[in-house]
Amino acid sequence: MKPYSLPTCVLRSFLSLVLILTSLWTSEVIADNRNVVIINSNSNIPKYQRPQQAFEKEQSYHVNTINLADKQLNTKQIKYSLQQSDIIYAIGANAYQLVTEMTVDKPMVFSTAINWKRLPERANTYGVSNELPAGRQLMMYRYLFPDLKKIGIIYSPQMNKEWLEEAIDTSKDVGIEIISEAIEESDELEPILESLLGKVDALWLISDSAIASKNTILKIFNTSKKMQKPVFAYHEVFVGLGALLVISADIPTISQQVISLMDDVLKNKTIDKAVVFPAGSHVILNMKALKQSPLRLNETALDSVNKIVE
Amino acid sequence: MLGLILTFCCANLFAEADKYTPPYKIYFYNPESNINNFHSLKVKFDSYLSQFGAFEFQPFDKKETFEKMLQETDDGIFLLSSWHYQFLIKNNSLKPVLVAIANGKITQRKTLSSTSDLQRLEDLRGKSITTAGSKQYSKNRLREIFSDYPQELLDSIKLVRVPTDMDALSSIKYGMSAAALSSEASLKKLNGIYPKLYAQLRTLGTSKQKFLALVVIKGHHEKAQQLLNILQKMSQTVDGRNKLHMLGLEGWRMLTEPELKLLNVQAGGE
Repeated sequence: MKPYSLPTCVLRSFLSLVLILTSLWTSEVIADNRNVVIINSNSNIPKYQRPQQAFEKEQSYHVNTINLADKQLNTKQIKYSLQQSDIIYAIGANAYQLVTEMTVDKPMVFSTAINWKRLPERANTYGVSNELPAGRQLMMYRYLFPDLKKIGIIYSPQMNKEWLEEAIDTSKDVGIEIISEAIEESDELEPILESLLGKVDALWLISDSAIASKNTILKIFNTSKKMQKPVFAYHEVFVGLGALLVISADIPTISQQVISLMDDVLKNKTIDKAVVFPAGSHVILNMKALKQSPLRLNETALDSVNKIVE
Repeated sequence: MLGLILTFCCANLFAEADKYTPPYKIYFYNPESNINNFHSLKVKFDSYLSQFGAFEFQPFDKKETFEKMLQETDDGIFLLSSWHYQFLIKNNSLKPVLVAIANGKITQRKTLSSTSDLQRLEDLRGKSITTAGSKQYSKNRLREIFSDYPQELLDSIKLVRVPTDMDALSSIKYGMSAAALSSEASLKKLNGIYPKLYAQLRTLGTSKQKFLALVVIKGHHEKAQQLLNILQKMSQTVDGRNKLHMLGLEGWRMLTEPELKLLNVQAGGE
């Protein structure tokens, strides 16, 4: 091979340098070179695995991952990895808590943390909550079931008082009346459940520790079925128990929001809201439950349903 | 007697042959919507189409895979967005035959809505907007709506893809985005569901009217004609209408000559 003459070599080197400098000038490329450490509460289970997969598919950073279910990892190794990052992505409440306890001085974005408000506060922390705004769900109820007038909610004031206030506020705007019953312990459920179901067209099952036990959930679904009152729920697992409708956060959308927040943090942009709601919803409609329900479905709204279960 | 046996054997042979005939397919891809109900769509449409013969519905979530299929396959018809058709027609020999109907119309406009405190496109610089369309589709429509604005301003706007127009519009209320790109029909629906939120929105820009989804064919095939007839009759039964609703449609009708001309003018204009 003929060697380059000196002027050609110099010219090529100069051009290469210009190209490198030009590319470094582009903010997108700077973002690409940043190190993101994903710390996952347990990437062996789908709930935490799917957000990680969706993130990895969309992002363009240099990514390292830590799976907290990996028993071979020790605290020292985890802390070292976190300290090498430019930004941390914590998936799940356990991951969030561990990063907070380790006092690593790096910005963090989190997702998939149920009831994030109960987590310890941490500076330089941003996130996408796991729960859709109550108003977004009420919009869908109104859209899919135009005849729905009254909906029942059982909740614990300690956990969901503020959430309920927001829900009641929006419910008036969409023409649905919320009838709520507060309980502190699951053993208070039985006397109020039938009475509540007698007053409403459907029951809205929310994520709440007072009604989270298996027995309580089964009691709710059995009584609702007996009284022919459909149940609207927040997780796909309830379809198997007979929920008519499930509305949850759309995971690919959450990943895009996480990436957008990371981008803003790394570019030192002003961030209006540190923790945002998920922007996308995932809607599952159970046709078997619909056939047993007195509620009329607005069939023209079927294009807003992600999954129809027969 | 021999004749009877021969007839019986032949009938059985043809029946067996029909059983193994590869199904004639409707290939579907829509960059204007992100509703990822492909499994439900496939199951429901396959069940509906199977009552008319060996037909199948094949939805795609990746534009490139759909385009490859469109280039390489002759055993089907293609259900696609009119926006996508404008690009595909440049490299493929396609004949648009049917146009979708929704809300009694065959065209739609896209609108960029925001809250009333954002009054100009400049106010969206560096902010996020939500859209159910693909990023390429949404960028293209924004460029069309705001053709007088500098490209760098449009490039500074971040797009967050959400499953539906309703997600896009409601995300403005809850601060997940500064604006939403949606169809005018969705805005109208929002007014019916949540009039207070509708009243809080301001329109920053609206696109030109574009045709709704199209059914296009490649060449002439008897099975294609059968499928076109089946699609046109879908709106006549409750079962058929329910399947159409899953695509956000009310029915299909033949494109007229003036509409075909307009479609091709629009294709040339892109």
